[in-house]
Amino acid sequence: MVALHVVTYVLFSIFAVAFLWKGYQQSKMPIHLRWELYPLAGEKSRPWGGSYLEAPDWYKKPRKHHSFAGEMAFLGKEVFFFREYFRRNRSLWYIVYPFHIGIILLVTFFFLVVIGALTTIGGVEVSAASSNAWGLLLYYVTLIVGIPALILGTISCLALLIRKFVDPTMSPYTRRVEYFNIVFVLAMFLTGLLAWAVADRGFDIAREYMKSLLTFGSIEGLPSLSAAHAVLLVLLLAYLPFTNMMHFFAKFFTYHKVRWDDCPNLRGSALERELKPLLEQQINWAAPHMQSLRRWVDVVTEETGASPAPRVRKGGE
Amino acid sequence: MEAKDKLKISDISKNADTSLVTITGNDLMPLPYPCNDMVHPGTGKLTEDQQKRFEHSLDGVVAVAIPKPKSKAEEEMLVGRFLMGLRKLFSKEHNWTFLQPLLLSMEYCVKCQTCSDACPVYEASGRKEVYRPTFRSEVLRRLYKRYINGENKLLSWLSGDDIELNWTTIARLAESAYRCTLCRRCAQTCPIGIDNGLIAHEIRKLLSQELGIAPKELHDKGTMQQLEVGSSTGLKPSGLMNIIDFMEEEIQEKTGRKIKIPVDKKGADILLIHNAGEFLSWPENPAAFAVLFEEAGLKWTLSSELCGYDAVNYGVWYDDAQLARIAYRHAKVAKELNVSKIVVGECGHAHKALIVVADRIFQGDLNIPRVSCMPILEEIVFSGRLKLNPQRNNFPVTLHDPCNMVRLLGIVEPQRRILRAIAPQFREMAQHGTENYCCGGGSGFAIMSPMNLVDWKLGISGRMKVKQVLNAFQPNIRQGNTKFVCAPCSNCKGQFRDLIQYYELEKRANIHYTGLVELIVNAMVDTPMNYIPEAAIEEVAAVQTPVEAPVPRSGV
Repeated sequence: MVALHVVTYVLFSIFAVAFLWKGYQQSKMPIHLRWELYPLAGEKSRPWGGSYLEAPDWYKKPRKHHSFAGEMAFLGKEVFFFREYFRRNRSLWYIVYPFHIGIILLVTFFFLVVIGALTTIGGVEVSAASSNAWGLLLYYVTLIVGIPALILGTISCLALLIRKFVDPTMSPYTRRVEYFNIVFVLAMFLTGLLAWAVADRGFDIAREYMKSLLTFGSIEGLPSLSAAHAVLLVLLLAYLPFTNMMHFFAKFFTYHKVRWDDCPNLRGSALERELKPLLEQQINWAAPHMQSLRRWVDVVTEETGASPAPRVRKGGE
Repeated sequence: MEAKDKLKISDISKNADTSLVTITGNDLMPLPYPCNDMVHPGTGKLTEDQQKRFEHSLDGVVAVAIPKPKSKAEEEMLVGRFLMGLRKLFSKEHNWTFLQPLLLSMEYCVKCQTCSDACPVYEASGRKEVYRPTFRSEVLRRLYKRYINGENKLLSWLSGDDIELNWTTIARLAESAYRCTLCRRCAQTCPIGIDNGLIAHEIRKLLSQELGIAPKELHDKGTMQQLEVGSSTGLKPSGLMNIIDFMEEEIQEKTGRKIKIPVDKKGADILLIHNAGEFLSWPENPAAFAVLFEEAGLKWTLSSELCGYDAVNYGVWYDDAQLARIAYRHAKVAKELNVSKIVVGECGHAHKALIVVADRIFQGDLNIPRVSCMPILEEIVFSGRLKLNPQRNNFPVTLHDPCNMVRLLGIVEPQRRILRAIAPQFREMAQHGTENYCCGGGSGFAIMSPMNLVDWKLGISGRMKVKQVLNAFQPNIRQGNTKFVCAPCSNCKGQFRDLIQYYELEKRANIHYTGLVELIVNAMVDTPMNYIPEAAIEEVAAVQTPVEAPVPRSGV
C-alpha cells in the first residue's frame, strides 16, 4: 500500500502545481484590447444590458464598480443551475446538469471524507453507531452526499458519452481524446460506485484511507475496487489541468477577463501606463502593409496619405 | 460537384475540386407572409473563368477572392507562411491584443453546440454544417493543437487532430472566416464564454497580417484607401465641402433653417465624425445631425482633414494594425482641432472600433474621450429645446439594433427612449436589444459584393433580419401605410437598402428604412415639410404634442 500512497501524493502534487501554474499563466497574460459582451452581470442598474457608455459624458464621472453581488448571482445560477444550458440547450441540460451536480457532490464528498478522517484522528468515531452527535452527523451527511454523487455521476457520464457518440451535431466535433476523457471520468465514477456497493457501504474505508494519507500511515486490506477508484481519482486530478475539462476554471477568465472587462483606458490612468510597454513591443508580421511596423506604436508616427486637396467653399467660411 | 451530406471536420483539407456544401433555395429558412412565396435562387453560380481563377471550394461563393496558386511551389510557400502566421497568432509578442481571449476559446470549448441556434447564418441557411459557428473554430483548434501546441504526429493522431494543413484547408478556412458577421451572438449564448466570432476575427487577422489576404473592399479599397485619400469611399476633402454646401441648401429647403455647418472649427467641444457613406448616399443624415446640434446650441465641428470626415474603420474586422492606424488618424485630427471629445455618428462598427476596441491603444494627448451620439441625441430630445410633434411620425416604426452598438457597447436604451417619445407606433422586434440579430451586412458584408457574394449576404446572412422585420409589422402588413425600419448605422442601412430591393419589401409591404436623426427632425413642428419624404402624414394635429417625459435614468 506504500506504492498507492506515493502515487497519490505525487499525482495530487502534480494536480496542485499544474492548477496553480495554469492560474499563474492566465494572470500573466498581457492585457488585451477590449472585447466585452453585453449584458454585463455586474451592471445591475441597467438591467436592459446597458453600459456606462449610455451616459453622454461618462468619462467625467467616477466609474462605478460592477456589482459583485450581481456577478456572483449570475455565476451562482450558472454553477448550481446551469441556467444557460437550461435556457438554450434543454436536451443537453438533462445530461450535463446532473453530471456536474454529481461532480460538485463528489468534491463535497471528498471534503467530507477529509473532515471525517480528521475527526477520527481527533478520537471521535464517525459511524452510525457513534455516540458523538458530530460523528453521527458527519457519517450520515457523507452518505447523503456521496451516494447520489456516484450514482448521478456514473449515469449522466454514461449518457454524455452516448450523446457525444450518437448526436450528429456533436460526434464530428468530438476528438478521440475527448471520448477518452469522458471514459476516464466514467471509470472513476463507476469504480467509486462499485466500491461503495460492494465493499464500503458506510464510506468507512474511504475515511480510513484518507486518514492513512493524512497521517502518512498505512492501511491494510484496502479492497481492490476502492484502490482502483483512489488511483483513478488522483490520476484524473493530475490529468485534468492539461485538458479542456478545466473549463470550470476557464469560465472565471472568459467572464471576468473578457466578457465583463469594460475598464476604460482613461488618460493618465494606471491602465494607460500598463499598456505602454505592450505598444512598444517588437512585432514582425510579414504582409506588405505590415513591413513598416516594427512596433505597434509606430502607427502614431507613420505618415501616410496624400496632401489634402485645396478646399473651396461657396460663400466663404 | 455536389456536396457531401455529412461533413467531417477533416473534410476541409480534402477534395479541393468539390464544394463542401451547395446551397439551393429549398434549403433556406422559410419567410413569413408576404414573402412566404418567394423562391430564392440559391447562391449564384460563378462563371467558368471565375471558377478557374478564384478559390471557391467552401460553398461555391467568393468573398475574399483569393487567386488560385499557379504552382505546387506557390502552394507550399503559402502554407509555410500560414504556419508562420499561426505561430505569431499564438505569441505574446505578436498578438498581445487578443491572445488571452483567443487562447481561452481555443482551449476550453466543449462543443456542446449551444451556440449554433444563436447564429442567424446557420439558421437561415437551413443549418448547413459549414456555417455552424464551431466549424471553423474546430478547424483552427485542430491546426493549433497539431502544429503549435507541440504535440507530435502520433499524439496528434491519438488525440484526433486529423486535419492536414494544405492549401485547400487554408483557402476554405479563409472563405469560412468571411461567412461570419462577427455579431457575437454565439458568444453571448455560450455557457462557458467561448467566442467563435473572435476566432473568425483572428483567422481574418492572420491572413491579412501575415499573408496579405483580405477582401479588396476591406483592405485595398477600404483601409488603405482611407489612409491614402481620407475615406474608404474615395471621398476627398474637396468633394466633402461640396456635399456640405449641398446639405446646407437641403436643410434650408426642408426645414427653413439657414445653417452654416461648422468645419475644422478649432476649440469646439465636439468633433462629430460620420461614416462618409452618409455624405454620399444619405446626406440627409448628417444634415439632420447639423439641424439638431445647432438647435441644441452645441459647440461642434466636422473635420475635412484626412480620415477626419470618415468614421469607418474596417480594420476592426480583419487587421489590428489597420485598426490602430485609422483610430490614431481620428485621434490626431481631434487633437489638432483641440476638441474635448469625439462623437461618433450613426455608424455601429465605428462605435465599436473607436470607442471600445481601439480604446487601449491610445496614449497621452491622443487619448481623447470618444463617445456615442446616442446619449447626446437623447439629451437633445428631452432637453425641451426642440418642438416635437410625435404625430408627424405616426406610422409603424421598428428599430434595428446594430450589433456593435448593443451587444458590443451596451448602448441600448437611449435610442429606444427617443423612439418611444417621437414615434407613437414604435414596436420592438421579437429579439431586440442585446439579443438582436445582425442585419446580415456585418463585418464588412454590407460593402462587399464580389462575384456571387450578393446572393449569399442577402439570401442567407440577411434572411433572419427580413423575417424579424416582417414579423414586427404583422398582422396588418399588407395595409398600405408606410412602415419604417429605423437603422441607426450606415452599414446596416446599406444592407437594408439592398434587402428591401432583393425581397421586394417596398412593393409587397411598403417597408422603408431610415436613420434615427431623420425621424427626430421629421417630428419637429416648425419645419415646413416632411424631412423624410416617404413619411408624409396627411392629417397631423396642428398643435405641438409634447414628447413624453424621459424615463428617469439610472446608473448614470
